[in-house]
Amino acid sequence: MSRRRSTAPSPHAPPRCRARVSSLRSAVTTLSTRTGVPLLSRVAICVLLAATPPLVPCALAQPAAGQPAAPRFGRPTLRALAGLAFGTAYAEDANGTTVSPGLAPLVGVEGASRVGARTALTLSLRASRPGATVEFEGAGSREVEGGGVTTVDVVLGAERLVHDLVAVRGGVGLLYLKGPEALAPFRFNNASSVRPLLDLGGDVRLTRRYPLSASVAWQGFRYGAATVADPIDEAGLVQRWTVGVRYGR
Amino acid sequence: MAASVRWLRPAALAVALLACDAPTVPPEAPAYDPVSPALGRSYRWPLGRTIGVYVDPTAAPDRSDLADATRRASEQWAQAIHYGEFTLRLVSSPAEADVIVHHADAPLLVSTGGCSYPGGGAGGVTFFCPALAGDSAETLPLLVGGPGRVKVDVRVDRGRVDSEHAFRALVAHELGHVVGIGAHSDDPADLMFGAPGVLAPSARDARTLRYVLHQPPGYTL
Repeated sequence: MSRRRSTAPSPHAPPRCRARVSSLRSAVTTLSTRTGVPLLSRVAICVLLAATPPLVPCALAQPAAGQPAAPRFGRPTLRALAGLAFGTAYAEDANGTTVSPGLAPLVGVEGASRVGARTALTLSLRASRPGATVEFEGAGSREVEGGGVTTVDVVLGAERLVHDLVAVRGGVGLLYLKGPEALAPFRFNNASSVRPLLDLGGDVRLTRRYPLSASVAWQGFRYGAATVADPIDEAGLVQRWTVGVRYGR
Repeated sequence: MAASVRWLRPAALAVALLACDAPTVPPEAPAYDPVSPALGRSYRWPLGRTIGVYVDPTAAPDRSDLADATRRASEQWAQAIHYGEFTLRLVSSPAEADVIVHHADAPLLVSTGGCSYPGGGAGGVTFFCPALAGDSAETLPLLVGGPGRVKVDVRVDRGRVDSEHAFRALVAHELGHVVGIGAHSDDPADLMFGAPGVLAPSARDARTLRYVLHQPPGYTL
């Protein structure tokens, strides 16, 4: 399989585009040299091209005639994830009431595509349904089960092997959160049940014989004050952790 | 490996910075004193409780729909709370009820325990009997016998109000007493004003109720 190691822009790309790609290439090459990871340049160029609208024509430019197109992504693989999710409070009321998610099973699937020897892009879908626990600490430390919270997240991320058995990853995505209508953080959140999400995590391969890894992830999203009636005046960060096993290459 | 470690440090720092705050609801103070002057203590139901409400159709005057007024009032009060502190649910028999609502001319379905039922000329009365010992309210035995769990009796007098609107306001007002507001507001815009003219709890009523619900109760119903 032939691989194009250069990140030079296509000759078909406009001149202004070529200049911008050249400057990007030099910047990323510097970074690659420092980190000793040449393939990082290709990943970074991909991300920057996708994120910078004026450069989109560069990404779409066709290769020169007679030059075979280089594969940018490896064949996608599918992974399955099962584990547990838990997190911090959805809302803290100054009167001593806290609404928190309970420990809940989590399942997910993930598509991964290698973009380098040690790097992959991933698209994951995870779902869980923790119970919302309401703790009335100010009124005598009574806990009440408030009902289930449907939690589904989709995360686009990058994963990098930092050791033969250890990978770290990060990504951004969207979180769908739908809880009991009787509870304040959910009842007043109808303006949007979807939140931007930051996801960081890592995997440790448990055995070389099977593609089985232990997986942990931290997720964070802002919550509250979606509508005027929302009693949560101060939006804040809700953190969520997932711990489980992942199967698949 | 060293490069990755360099990336992890700022990532960990970012996580630590982001972790500083949680979604927060600011503190609230009651808009008026919710404590009943007669009792001298607050009261409320155990938090998270589903409160069964039986509407007695006996002796209903013309042009009054007590069940509908009670259902609407229940929905209004449910909007005033934030964390499912209680749920008001209409039930079909006194045996399932925590609260009985009835017209003034209907006979009581429960005995009044060790307390005497208040008289007077009020359009509505919300009655419960504090236990002699402890911080609870007595269960009022059903007069027909059998197991019961009634703690509160509500009497409304359609004859003392001059319109259906005023009657609905009266029912909603009494339900405010049922869920924990023991006193009256001095603002006519509030549902808990002595002579209520509105059908739904005001923001002041809601704030006062939430305050009561999040304090240790004087009496637990």
